[in-house]
Amino acid sequence: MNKLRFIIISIMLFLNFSFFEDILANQKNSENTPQIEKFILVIINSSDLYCSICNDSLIEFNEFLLSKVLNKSRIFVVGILLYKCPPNKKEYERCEKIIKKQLRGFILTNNICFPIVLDKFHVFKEFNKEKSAIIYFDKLNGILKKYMFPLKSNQLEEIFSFTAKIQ
Amino acid sequence: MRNFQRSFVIAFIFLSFFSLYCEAKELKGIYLKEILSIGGLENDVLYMWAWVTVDKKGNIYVTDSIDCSIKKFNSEGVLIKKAGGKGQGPGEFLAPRLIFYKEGMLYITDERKRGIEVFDEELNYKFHIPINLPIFNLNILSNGNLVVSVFPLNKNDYGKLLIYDLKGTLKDRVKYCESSNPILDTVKFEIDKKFNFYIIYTWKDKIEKINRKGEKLWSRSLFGKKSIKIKKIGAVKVPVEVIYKDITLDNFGNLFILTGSISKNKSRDVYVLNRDGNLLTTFTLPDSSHCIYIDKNNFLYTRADMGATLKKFLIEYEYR
Repeated sequence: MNKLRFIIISIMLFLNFSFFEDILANQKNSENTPQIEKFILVIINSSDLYCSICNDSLIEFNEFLLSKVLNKSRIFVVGILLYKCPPNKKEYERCEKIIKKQLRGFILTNNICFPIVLDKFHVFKEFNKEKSAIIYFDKLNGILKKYMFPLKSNQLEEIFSFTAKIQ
Repeated sequence: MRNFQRSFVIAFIFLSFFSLYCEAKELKGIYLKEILSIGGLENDVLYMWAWVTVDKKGNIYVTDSIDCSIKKFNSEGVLIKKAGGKGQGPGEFLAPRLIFYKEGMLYITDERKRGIEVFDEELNYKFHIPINLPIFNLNILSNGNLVVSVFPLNKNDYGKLLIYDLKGTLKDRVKYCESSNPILDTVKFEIDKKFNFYIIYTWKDKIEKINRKGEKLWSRSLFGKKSIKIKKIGAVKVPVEVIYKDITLDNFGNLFILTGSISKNKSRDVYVLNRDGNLLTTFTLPDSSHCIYIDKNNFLYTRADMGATLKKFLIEYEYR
């Protein structure tokens, strides 16, 4: 069942990435601008924002992006923040404002270098049952991998080795 | 100067009589009147505050777990200063939690760093107290020593409050229970002027009063719950239902106990007991909270908006 879910999500992600890629390709369609070759999607559970132990991997990954990843312009990284709010409209709006505020504080405090968007329409809600994760997609090398948090050092190294292979 | 002394003595006598009068009358109910709100949804003054303490002038100090800082507000709720920041260096935090004011100094714990960081009331970092145990609750005695409840790492400390001096030297232990499971016997506590301890158990339906020697003076349960809900995570069994979340004393010596997921209004119901452990009344906080705090002027502080807001209330007592 989990495998099936993963396959469905992977297909969904592939479509999403293609969509992102098309947009970016259209935006940067000049010979001098390097093309986006790799996508990294960071799925973040909102509870990780205030759980210091839980967000270690995320912060480590961010530091890794800041310090180790060369050719940043050819890697597209985006964070997706998953959250749950009460169904009642007024409560939902209040809860969403709180989440946005926590996210602002988290980004500022930890110098997060990639954009994080709220999963407002619960596109990634299947992930909500699990921990935060990184999904790495490399169209040219045919790689699609998911890394669940907490990340191990060898997993970070693997992502680093993938990102280093810019063609 | 003499006028000031005279006014002080009169005020003291008045308050003493008022306190005796209040004790003699039977408490019927407690109502909260909001008088201050700090933070809110539209500004970034507070992201998610974790704990609060107040000095004699009414200045409010909080730890903020999102931006890893400590913040000082004046009694009108204006941010005066911010200190700390994320890091492992002196005066920096990874996950600041408890904060306690005593005699011009602030004592702060960090969930991910052992020991206690000490700042002055201007939020200047002063020194570190090395205590190599995870601290759940903290209080300062009149002699300057610290009392902490901890997650003990050796069996000698099971079921005991530990007393340290400011250099981090263990001076004494106060036994509150026979414990074989330090997780289940996690407690928070308050100390009264006579050096008695009021103990609440996080995972057990148990509230107790013990004296300085560790002798039990009374024991109460508010819900009559004898078993604990346990969940198995891997090989470890962990309790899942928080019974009592926090305890504070008002200026009349009443115990205010915030209950957890067991109560009707989760993390909002407060039970008020007198110093003999008799239930006087209950009331419900407007928003769920993980802590309650009453300052020296008898104002109650609690959380709203998942920590984005701090509320200050006047406590109104209704007597029969």
